[in-house]
Amino acid sequence: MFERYTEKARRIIFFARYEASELRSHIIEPEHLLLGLLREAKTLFEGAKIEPMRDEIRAAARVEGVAVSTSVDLPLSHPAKKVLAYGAEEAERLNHRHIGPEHLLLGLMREPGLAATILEKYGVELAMQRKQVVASETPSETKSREIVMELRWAFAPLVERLKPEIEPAVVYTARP
Amino acid sequence: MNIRELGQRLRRREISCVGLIEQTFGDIKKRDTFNCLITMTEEQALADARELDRDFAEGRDRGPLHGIPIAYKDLFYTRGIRTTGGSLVYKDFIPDHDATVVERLHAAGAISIGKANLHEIAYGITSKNPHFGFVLNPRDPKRIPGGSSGGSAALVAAGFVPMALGTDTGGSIRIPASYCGVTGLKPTYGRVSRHGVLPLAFSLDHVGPLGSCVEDCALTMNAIAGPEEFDLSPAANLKGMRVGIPQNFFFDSVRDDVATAVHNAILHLERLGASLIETPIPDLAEANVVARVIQLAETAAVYARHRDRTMFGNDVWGLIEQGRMIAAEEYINAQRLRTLFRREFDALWQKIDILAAPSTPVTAPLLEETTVQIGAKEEDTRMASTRLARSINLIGEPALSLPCGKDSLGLPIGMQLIGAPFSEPKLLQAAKMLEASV
Repeated sequence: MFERYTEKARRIIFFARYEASELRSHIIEPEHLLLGLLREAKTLFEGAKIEPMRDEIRAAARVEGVAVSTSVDLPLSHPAKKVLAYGAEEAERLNHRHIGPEHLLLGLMREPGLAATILEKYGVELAMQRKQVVASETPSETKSREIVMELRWAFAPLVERLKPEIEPAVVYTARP
Repeated sequence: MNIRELGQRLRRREISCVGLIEQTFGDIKKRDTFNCLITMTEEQALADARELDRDFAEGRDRGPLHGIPIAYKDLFYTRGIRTTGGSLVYKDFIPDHDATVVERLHAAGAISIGKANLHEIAYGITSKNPHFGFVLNPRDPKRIPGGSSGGSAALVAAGFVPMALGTDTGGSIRIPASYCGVTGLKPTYGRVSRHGVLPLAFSLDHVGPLGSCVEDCALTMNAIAGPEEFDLSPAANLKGMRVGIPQNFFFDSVRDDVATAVHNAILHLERLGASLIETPIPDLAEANVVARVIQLAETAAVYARHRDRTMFGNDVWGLIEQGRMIAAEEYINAQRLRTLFRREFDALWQKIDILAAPSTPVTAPLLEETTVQIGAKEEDTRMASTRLARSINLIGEPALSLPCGKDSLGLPIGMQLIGAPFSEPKLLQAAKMLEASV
């Protein structure tokens, strides 16, 4: 499920799991994802106070119990799964092939709960954030994306012709 | 002068190998305003020439290429001589070995005069290299020579050398051959070694000659392409050869004067004894889409660790960036679609021996033209230039471009002959006869 995730986005998931374990949770919640984002993608929060935000989340999210061993796989809660789905949807909307921290942040803002409330409190707005994601692209990236979308448009119908048994022809000399 | 004529002068002792090399460098220094070369290797060339003169004196004749000055696109590894790929990435790269084809041509007695300028990393058709300067078209220096083997084509068109080696991933031999009015052969995929040649897209890359005539290409193939002899002893006629005239794709969007010149050349083939067969062909517009998916992805793979955009020209960076957006499933399905197109061509080769078509839909565009006008349509210069060439790299068949006339401005018009896999001898034979009659 994480194949479209950028390296940074993958690290955010990794740190979310770590934060969950630190806060004694047996499940990864959106707030853990946000803590992961605050570690890995500080530049997204320009202007917002990162340290107080982090402390506030940690205070609200801590549960009683013992820390979970880091070797155990922690599942994603239902809201956390929704955050990831929203993130993918945001990427789709922008025609982005990859899913990065910026998309995960947009996903977090769309799922009501502790994470979204805190983001709102610290002045991180959904509409503004979307604009920033678009603006952060270089002109060449936007142009490239347009060209690839067009190519993909022409390519997709050709793929319909492929039957399961048709193999790739990479090595020409293999042809009889 | 072509290879045979130069060889005759050498064997009649009208000039020595050293004399010919001195003359070649003198000529280049005086007249090369086209920026054909990135590196000149005069000392090495003179040393080679002295050795080859000794060989002649002692009765050792290495064959038709003995003492002939040639050049390599700066993508071919040359031991101890920098190989830039026309790029900042490799600007200080000095290979510790020769490419296999370089070894072979050296053994055959050809003398390299240096490394030819090219489109940056061979990824484009203008040869407007942002790091080593633009290559200009010797037929009209206000125009692009085509690319990516632009320097190779320009060296031959200017008459500096009879042959320069190039590479062709989406038309990079045939397009400059067409725009510069020289002859270029993209051999069958796998026919000529790619070992020691900087890759652009592994499964689409081909090595081949750009020559002053068909025979120059054939003689070069004899040296670089393994055991088969590319016999060019004159055939009496082309009787029995089935020449296909494509009913779709190739003439659909081509400038009128180009179409007329190619059609006239086809009629020449008929006069020479070939039978003409009008035939529908596979949809190469679709094949072009498939080829682009493969090329974008493979090149992005080659340059995966290069993330600094300041190292590349804008056009090349854009293409690398596009390649990174291609999904693995798309690349693999493109390779599977390739299987289908090859099967369609296998069926076509049951009906015909050679497909005759234009090489490019237009003649050489001006340096500043980013679009070209074809009838009422305006088309991106790069897309138009590669449109008739690219799909042939996908199927891997051999294809040759030779001049078949001139437009109203006197610019050369290129004709493309495409054949079944490993049918280069047949292609060269037909081209040779056509060359003599056009």
